[in-house]
Amino acid sequence: MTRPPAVPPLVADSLAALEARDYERAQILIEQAVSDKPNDSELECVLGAIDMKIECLRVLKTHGA
Amino acid sequence: MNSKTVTEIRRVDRVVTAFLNEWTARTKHRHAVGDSLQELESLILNSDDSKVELQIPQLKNISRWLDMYGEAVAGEGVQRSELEVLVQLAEQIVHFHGGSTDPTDSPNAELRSALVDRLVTLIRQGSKELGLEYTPAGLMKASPDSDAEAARARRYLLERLGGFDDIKEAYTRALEFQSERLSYFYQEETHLLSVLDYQLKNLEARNNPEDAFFAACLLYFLRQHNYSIAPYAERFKKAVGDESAFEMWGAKVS
Repeated sequence: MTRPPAVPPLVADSLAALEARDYERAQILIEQAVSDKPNDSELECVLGAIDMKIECLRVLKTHGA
Repeated sequence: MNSKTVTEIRRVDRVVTAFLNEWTARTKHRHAVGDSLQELESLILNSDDSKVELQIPQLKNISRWLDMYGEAVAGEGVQRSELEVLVQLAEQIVHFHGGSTDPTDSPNAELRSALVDRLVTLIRQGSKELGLEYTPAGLMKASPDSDAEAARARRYLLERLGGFDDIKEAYTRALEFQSERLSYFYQEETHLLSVLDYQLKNLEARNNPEDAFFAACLLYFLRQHNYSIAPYAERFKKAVGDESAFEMWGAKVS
């Protein structure tokens, strides 16, 4: 029987990390998920967004904004 | 860093956060749908003997699943692969014959039929979301007649619940299937070769006994009337595979 695409455990864990706003942990987990599935463009996109989020937070924190 | 830059970084941060929140919610939803479909699959397939009737507790559990997850699975954000699972499970329920020559006599037949009805309604709903239609050949790209076709698919599934009392009755139904399909799908001026071509496309998309029998009848009839059917016959044999009853004819088709 055809099954719907399951959410890999790494992605499931990264969802929890994102909900907890633990972006660095989410980033590590998504990086691992991407390396498991090298052509997963959706995860690449999410990884890029997390990178950007972390950078925004870093800049705002550094400048006390 | 000037205030304009800070404002811009905050704006980017808000956009990225909104994206991540949305992705998180969608992915969690997909995860939940996948889990619930596996649950439904286990409810239906617990009994792996297709001649065994689904029992009342099993049917009630399936009904409960439909109450809880039906909308989530077939509603907004539905994916084709998930809908395909629902289609297969609906057909699986239809195949439970109750081990009886007349399964409509089974006390569970009515409840089972109602569940198929609900599943088909969900499949139709999900199909609409995806711009598809539910046909006897499976999910296909929607046409303007999709509603009528979905209703027909439902009738087809429900009819199969009745089972076949004997082979003569089965044969009559197979002929009726051909007659209905000819009247429903095709204009009067459509040539039988075009009908055959469409039937073969159905078979190529999804092999099933009714379409195979229809295509075989068309092939034989056209051959009787001196049409060259070799390329169609090859497609037919390829579509139905080694299980074909075609070889029993033993004749070379050309």
